[in-house]
Amino acid sequence: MYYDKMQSFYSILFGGLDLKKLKVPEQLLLSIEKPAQYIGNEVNAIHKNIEDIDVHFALCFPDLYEIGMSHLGLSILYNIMNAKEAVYCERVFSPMKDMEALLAKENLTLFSLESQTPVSEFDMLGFTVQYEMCYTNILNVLKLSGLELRSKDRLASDPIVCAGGPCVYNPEPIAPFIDFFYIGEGEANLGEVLDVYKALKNDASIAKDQLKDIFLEKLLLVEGVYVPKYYDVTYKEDGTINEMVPNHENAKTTINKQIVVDLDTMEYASNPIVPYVQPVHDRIVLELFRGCSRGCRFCQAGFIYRPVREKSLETLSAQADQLAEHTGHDEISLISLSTSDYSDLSPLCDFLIDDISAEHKVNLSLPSLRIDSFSLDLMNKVQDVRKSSLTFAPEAGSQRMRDVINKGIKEEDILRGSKQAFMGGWNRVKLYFMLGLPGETDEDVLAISTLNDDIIKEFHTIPKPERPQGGVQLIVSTSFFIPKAFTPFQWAKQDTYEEFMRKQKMLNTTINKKRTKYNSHDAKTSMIEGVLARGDRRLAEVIVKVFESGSTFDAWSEHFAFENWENAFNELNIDPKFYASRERSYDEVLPWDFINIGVKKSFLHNEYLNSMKEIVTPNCMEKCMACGATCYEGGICYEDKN
Amino acid sequence: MKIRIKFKKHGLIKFIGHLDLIRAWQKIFRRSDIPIAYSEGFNPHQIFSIAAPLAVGITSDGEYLDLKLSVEAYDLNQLVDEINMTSPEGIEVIEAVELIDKETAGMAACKLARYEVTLSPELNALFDKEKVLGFLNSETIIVQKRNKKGKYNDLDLKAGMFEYEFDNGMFKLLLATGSSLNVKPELLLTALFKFLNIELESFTRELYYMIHRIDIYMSHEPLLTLTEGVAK
Repeated sequence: MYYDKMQSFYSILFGGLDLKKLKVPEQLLLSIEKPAQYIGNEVNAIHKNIEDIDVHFALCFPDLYEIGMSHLGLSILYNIMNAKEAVYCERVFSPMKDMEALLAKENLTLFSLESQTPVSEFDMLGFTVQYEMCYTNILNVLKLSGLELRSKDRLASDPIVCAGGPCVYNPEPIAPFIDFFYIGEGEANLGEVLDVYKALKNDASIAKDQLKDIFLEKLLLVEGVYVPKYYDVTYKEDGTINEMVPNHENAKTTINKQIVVDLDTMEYASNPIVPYVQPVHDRIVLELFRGCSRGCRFCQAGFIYRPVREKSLETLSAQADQLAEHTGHDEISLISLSTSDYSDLSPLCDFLIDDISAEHKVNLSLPSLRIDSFSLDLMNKVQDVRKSSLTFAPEAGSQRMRDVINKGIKEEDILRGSKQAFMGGWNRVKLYFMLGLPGETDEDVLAISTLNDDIIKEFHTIPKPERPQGGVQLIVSTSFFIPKAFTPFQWAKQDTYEEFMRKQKMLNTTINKKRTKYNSHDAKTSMIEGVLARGDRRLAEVIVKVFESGSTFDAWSEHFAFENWENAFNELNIDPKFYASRERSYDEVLPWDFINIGVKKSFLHNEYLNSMKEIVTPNCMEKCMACGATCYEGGICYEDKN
Repeated sequence: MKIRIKFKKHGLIKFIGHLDLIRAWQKIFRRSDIPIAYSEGFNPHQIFSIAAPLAVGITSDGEYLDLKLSVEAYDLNQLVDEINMTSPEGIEVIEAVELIDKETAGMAACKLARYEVTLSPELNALFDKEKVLGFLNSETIIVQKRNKKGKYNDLDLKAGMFEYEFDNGMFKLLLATGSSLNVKPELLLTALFKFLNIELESFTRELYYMIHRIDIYMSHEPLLTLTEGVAK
C-alpha cells in the first residue's frame, strides 16, 4: 500500500491507521447525504489486489445503493464472480443527486466502491436490469463514467459493457448501448464468459486494441450470449419487423436461456455484504426456489424462469444457519415467486422459527402467502400479538377476469380466507388488483368494488364477540396492466392512458370509501413501461433523447418527467401507441423472438387463445401442459418421473 | 453481568452515523458468541447503549458502550477478543470492565470529552493565531443554540471549556459533554469562523477541518475516563 500526502497526514494524525484512498476526498464526502454508501468497506465486502487479477468487473445496479443492496441477484453475481480467483467484481450504483453534482463539480468520474477505481478503467461494466424504468439510469452511469452511450462510439480501451436480468429478455430497446447481453441465470454460464475473456487477455498475440472485438466475436460461440452488433434488423412498411438476420457466420439465430438445473449443488452467496447504510430490506434473504408453476398469463417471471426448481429442506436449513452466522441480521425473509407452493414450507418454517430463531435470535418475516388455514396458523406463530395487515392479490375483481388471466383463485377462496383472517384477529386486509387486463369490461372493473363489499360483508357475518375490535379496514391498490414479452399477453394491446384513467376514476367513485382506502395513481409511468417492455431497437434513440433532456430515476415518481418522453416521441416521430396499444398478430416477428426461454411461442399463443375463451389451464403441479420447459431436463417437469 | 467496553472508531467507519453504528453493533453481537442479554417481551432487543453519540465524520480513540450479558460471569479478555474478531475494520475494542449493578449508565455518566481538531493547511493559513487565542480567552463565547422545541437560546460555550489550546493548526480541547451542558467542537469552530469572518458553508477540497475525540470522562478533578472511574 502506498500513501499520498493526504493519507500520511491522516495516518500520523490518527494513530497510523491505513486508510483506503477514497475517490472523493473525505472532507467533501462529509457534505453529502449518507456518505457511508460510497466507501465500500462493509462487512463481507471483498477486497482483492488489482495487480493479481485478470478480469476486473464493475457490477452495476442502476439505482440507489439502498435499493441495489436489497437485491438478492446482485449479491449472487458478486459472489459467483469473486469466487473466481482471476476475477475481481466490484459494485457500482447510481449515485444520489448530491453525489452526482459533487462529481461534476470536482471533475471526477464514477468509481467502484471496493477499490474506488474509475469505472472507465475496468475490463467490463455489467448492468443488472431489473425494470424498464431504469434505462435512463444506465445511460447516466455510462455518462458519469466518462463513456459514450452507444457501443459503436466507445473506444477499444473502454470497458466492455454487458447486461443481464429480467428486462434483457427483450434486450432490443437498449441493444445499441450494450456490447453483449447474457440471457439467463448468472450461475449457469457467466463463468465461461469470464474465462473466454481471461484467456484472450492473457494471449500475448492479441493486441490490446483488438481484444474487445475478438472477445465479442468469440462470444458468438458461448451459449446464452447475445451480441447485438452481429445482427441487423429490417422493417416492413407498416413499421413491424421484417426480419432480424445475423451478419456474422457464427451468430446464432436463436439464443438459448441459461439456467441451473440443480439448485442444491449450486453455489450460493453465503457471505452477503452487510451494509452500514440501511437498505430497503435489511435482512437475510433465503431463496426457496426458482420458477413458478402457476402460469398466471400476465406474469413474465412465471414464464421466463421456468421450470420450477426447488432447493431441498436440508440445503435451505444449512444456508439459513450460515447466513445468520455470517451476517448478524435479526430478520430472515423467504423469497420465491410463490412461497406457498414450496413443497416443504411447513417443516422449513418450523426450523426457522424454532431452531434459527433460538440459536441466532433471528425473526422470520413472512412474504405474502396464499391465505389459508396453514398460513394463518403460521402468521399467528410468527407475529404473536402484533397483527399487521394481511395481503391478498386477486389481481382481478370478477371470476371471469381471473379465469382470463389464469389466476387460479376462486371468489370462495378469497371470501373464506378473509373470514378466517378476521376470525384470527386481523382486521386490516390489503388487496391488489390490475386494471386494463386484456378483454376487461366496465363490469369487470366494477367487480373489484363488489368483491370489496363482499369481503366487508363477510366481516359482519362474524358474531361481534368473535371479530376483531375496531371494525374492518380494507386497502385496495390497483396497478395498470403492462403486457410483457414472453407471456401469453405479449400479443395483446395495452389500454391507452385515457382508458386507464377512465377505469380508475370509475372504480374510485364506486368503491366503498367508509371502510376502504383506495390507492390510485397516475398511469403515465405504466404507459412508458408498456412501450419499453415490448419495444425494438428504434426506441434506443428515444431513451437517449429523454436522458439528454435531463431524465434519470424514471422509476421514482418524484423524478419521472412524462413530458420528456412525450417530446422525444414527437421529435423522433415515433408513435408510442404502436408499441403499447397495438394488438399483434401471431405471424408478426416480435423483437425478442430470437431468444428461446424453453417455453414455446406456440404454447404462449395457445394460452392467449385460451384466455379469450376464459379457459383455465392447470398448473405444473396438477398436470404438465407441455409448455416446452422440459428441454432443460430437470425441475418440476421431471419430478415423479424418475 | 454488566460490562462497559471502550472502543476506537477509526478510518472510514467515521462516515457511519450514530444510528447505523448501533445497527452495526447489533450485528457484531449477533455474529459473535457473546451471550448478550435480550429484553423481555414480544420484540426482544439486545441490552446495550452507547455513552455519547459521535457525529458523522468524527474519529475517536475513546468511545464507550455498556452492555448486559445473560450470564453472571464471563472472561473479559475473551469478550474483547470475540468482539474484535467479528467487528468491522475501524471498530476495535481496547478495554472492558465489569460494572456493579447500580453503576450509573455511561450515557448519564459522561461529563467531559477531549478533542483534537486539525485544520487543513489552507484553512490554518486563514487563522490568525493571536486573534484565535484572544477569542478562546475571552470571558464568554455566546452562541445561538436551537433547543428541541426549535427555539434559539443563548449558550455560553466558555462555561463548558475546561482546557483549550491552539497551536500548529490544531486545537486541543477539553469540553463539557452530556445532558446538562454539551459543547460540541463544531459549535466552537462555527463561532470562531464567525469571529474571524471566514465563510465556510461546507467543506471544500482545501478548506476543512477534522475532529478526533480522544476520550470521554466521568469526572474532572480527578480526570477519570468512563472506565477508570467506575466503582470497583
